[in-house]
Amino acid sequence: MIPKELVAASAEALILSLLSKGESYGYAIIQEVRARSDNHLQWTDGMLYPVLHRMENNGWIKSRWVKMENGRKRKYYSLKEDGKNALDEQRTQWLKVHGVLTQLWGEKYA
Amino acid sequence: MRDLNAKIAEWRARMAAGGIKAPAVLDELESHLREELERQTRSGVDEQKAFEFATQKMGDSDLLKMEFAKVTGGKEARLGKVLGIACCLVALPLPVLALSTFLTIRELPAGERVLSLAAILLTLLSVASWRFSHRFLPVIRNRRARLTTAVACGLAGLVWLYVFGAMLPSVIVPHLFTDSAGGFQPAFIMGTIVLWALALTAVLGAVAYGLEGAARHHAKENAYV
Repeated sequence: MIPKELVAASAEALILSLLSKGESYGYAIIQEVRARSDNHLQWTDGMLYPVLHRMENNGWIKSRWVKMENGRKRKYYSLKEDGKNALDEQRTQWLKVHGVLTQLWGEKYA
Repeated sequence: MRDLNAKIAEWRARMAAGGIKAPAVLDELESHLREELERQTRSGVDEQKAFEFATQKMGDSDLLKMEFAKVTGGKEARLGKVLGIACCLVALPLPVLALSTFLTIRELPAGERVLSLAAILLTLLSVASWRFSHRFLPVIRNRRARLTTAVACGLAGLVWLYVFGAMLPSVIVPHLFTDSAGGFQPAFIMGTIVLWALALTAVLGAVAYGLEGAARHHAKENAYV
């Protein structure tokens, strides 16, 4: 299991990356992140929503309610232009962190 | 199912009592809860267990409330914005209406024209500054201090206009119009003074509106979450 600090720190980058593939809703985002990480990355479900709302406030993503066939509603989120820029920025930062770690571990185990 | 709906309604009420009051947020959380319940029951878990598991996974209302409060900075943080908007709404119409007059009227002396246009420009800039004011406004980290400053600016903008409005007929007008030989001159000066009074309110309003954004922008740049 990945500790909650790291989960929290990567939340924005994960959400931005997922939404760059198309619009999605909270529940599906959590399921997909969980599946892609082999259950290692787990949010407390409710905690995703404050992050989504903050990102919406930042103007990175936008949302719309969609009524499903069974009468229930889902709130779908999608990336805005500013969100794409934020994703570029965060991708650069994460790759930098990743690069340094890989480099260091390469030296250690070489 | 009826039983389940009642349980969900109870859970909503508990979340609301815990401080998550916005119906849209509760709707979204409920939608999530129902998806999870459906998945659990589909895979054979009984309804009661699924409900306990799903609500537990959702997290407790205290923690969620704290996280949501960080998003908006709490309801109070909006007060600065509301006052800022009020200042701009009050300060904007007259300069917009006066703009063409101050550009075209021939009798207007150059000094008053430049001063008036500067005031109008400042007002328009202040109103438009909600897009970029975070770049130059100070970052006040303390939430209370920030809110107090924002509210003080907003209120000062409105109170100032009220005081100015009260002073206009009793102090400024008699003072300007003492010399009846002045022609249009006193009226022009008064126009310029009114425009600057409005510009001051617009600037104070822009600060009241922008402080929260400046702090949030700063936080965004300096922390990941």
